[in-house]
Amino acid sequence: MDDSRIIELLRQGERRQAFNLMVRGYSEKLYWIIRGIVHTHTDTDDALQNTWVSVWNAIDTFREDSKLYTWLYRIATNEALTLLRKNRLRAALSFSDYAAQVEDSLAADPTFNGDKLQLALQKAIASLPPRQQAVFTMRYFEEMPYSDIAEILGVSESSLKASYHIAREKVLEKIKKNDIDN
Amino acid sequence: MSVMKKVGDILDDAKMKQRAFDLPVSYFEGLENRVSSKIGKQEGGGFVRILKPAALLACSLLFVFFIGYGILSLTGTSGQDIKEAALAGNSTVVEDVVDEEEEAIIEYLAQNISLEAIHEYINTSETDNDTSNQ
Repeated sequence: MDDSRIIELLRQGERRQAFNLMVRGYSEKLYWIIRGIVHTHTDTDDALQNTWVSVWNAIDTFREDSKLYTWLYRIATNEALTLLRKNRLRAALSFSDYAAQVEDSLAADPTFNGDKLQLALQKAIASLPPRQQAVFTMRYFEEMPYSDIAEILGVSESSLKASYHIAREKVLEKIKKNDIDN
Repeated sequence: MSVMKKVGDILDDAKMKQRAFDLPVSYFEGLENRVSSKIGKQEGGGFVRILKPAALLACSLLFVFFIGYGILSLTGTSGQDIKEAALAGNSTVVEDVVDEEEEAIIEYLAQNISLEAIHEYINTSETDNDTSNQ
């Protein structure tokens, strides 16, 4: 993806053209970041479309002092976390366990093509608090540098490292428990 | 090797980092159009979207006003009536009571006590006062 071309178009005031290039170039990357947080395809599609609408609404506010991709990832992460919190609140109001709901939907997901351990990993991630899910997804699956994740989530690098470490420990513990239970 | 170590090795396995989901066929091909359509809808309804909260607030205030007005109309009282009843009404009652008491005292004195008796009472009172002062 050539960010310089998009930025050049934005400078020239060609918002629509720049936006279309962003959608074509970044949708897949953003899709996987969001899916790591909200888990189901339907919710991911919803959050991704909301992300692009938010990007379009805020396109004039993009400042070149941050990288285009961290700006886009920040918007996508916020949309995913907002949706995840809404889902958790809805589950809490109906007196049901959101993590259990996600586990069930993951087990029944026809698009899931992984093995038993990968399923256990997905379930373990779903049991994490929303922000830790985002941290774990970006670091573990996308292997993003801590500095970029810190910029995206608006936290310090040191607290982010601690957060990832805690998330990883929790995931390991959960996989171990899942392995013992089965 | 402990169980935790084994699990730790599992997380380090590259296979675990692979995406474990398939994407619906041609999902990204239609995405651009869906996003454009969503933005178009949002921009089309932009004016309504901005006005909606203000209109709702105005409707709520009007509703409360008419409810209050309706109650006052049904009970046959207005703000002015209430104020007058509170001020003028109460003071008239007090004045009437005072007037009636004075009239009753004068009437009683006129009928039952003669002027001579009053003079005698006054003189007696003055004499008593002088005696007590000495």
